[in-house]
Amino acid sequence: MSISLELRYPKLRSSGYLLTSPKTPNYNCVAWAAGETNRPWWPISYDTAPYYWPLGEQDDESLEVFIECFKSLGYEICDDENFEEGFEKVAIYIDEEGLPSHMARQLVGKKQWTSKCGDLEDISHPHLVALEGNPGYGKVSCILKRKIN
Amino acid sequence: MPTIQTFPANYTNSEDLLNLQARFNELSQKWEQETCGFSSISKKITNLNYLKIIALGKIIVPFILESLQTKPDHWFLALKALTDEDPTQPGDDFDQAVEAWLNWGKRKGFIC
Repeated sequence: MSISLELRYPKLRSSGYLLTSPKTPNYNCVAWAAGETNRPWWPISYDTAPYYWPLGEQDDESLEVFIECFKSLGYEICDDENFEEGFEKVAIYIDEEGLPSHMARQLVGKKQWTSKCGDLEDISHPHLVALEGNPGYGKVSCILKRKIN
Repeated sequence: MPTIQTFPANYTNSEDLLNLQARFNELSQKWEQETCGFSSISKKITNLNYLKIIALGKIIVPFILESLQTKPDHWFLALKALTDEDPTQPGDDFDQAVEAWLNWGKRKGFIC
């Protein structure tokens, strides 16, 4: 149980979740969704380590830029969050301004999702809705999937 | 409290330093509280408390470095803005970026 998390994401408590890491600023949700844990990923216009974006320096942090990023990693847009054997999925949340606020990744071979919540802990959660709302990360706007090799 | 060796001696006295330390602690705690759940780096670095820390000017650099030393956090862009320098290398990860800034701070005499 994490009071910090439950205050910021009130739906977590009823949805259920498990803490799976300690707090750390070393990586963020996008890096975690992509499988990295050593640097934060975010599209920013300042070319400054440790911040990283696979498509290079960006001054646009729109949903399209995030979709493009994950397409470059082999993902394609799909219809829903339902578990599909042989695929891994990621979800992009957007805030009230329509800008990406969070990403989650479906655990391979499971129906659970995993999220790195800012600089707080990693968690596993059964449903994407657990992090939706305000306070929260807004709403899920896009699901992408790729085949597992 | 960090010893400031490279700023003009008349810039500050020990009372000013104590006030600065208190102000930095107050703003950095608020910043952490308000942004620790954010995934967006942009939202972290445009938070009003982060901007207020930058607005304190170059005098605050040793305090930021000391904080980075004891509790690493997203101080990289504040340091870059305040010093107009960037000792990190392209592709550095978080720990490497922290180390690069701490080594820079030691070379400059801002921290031990």
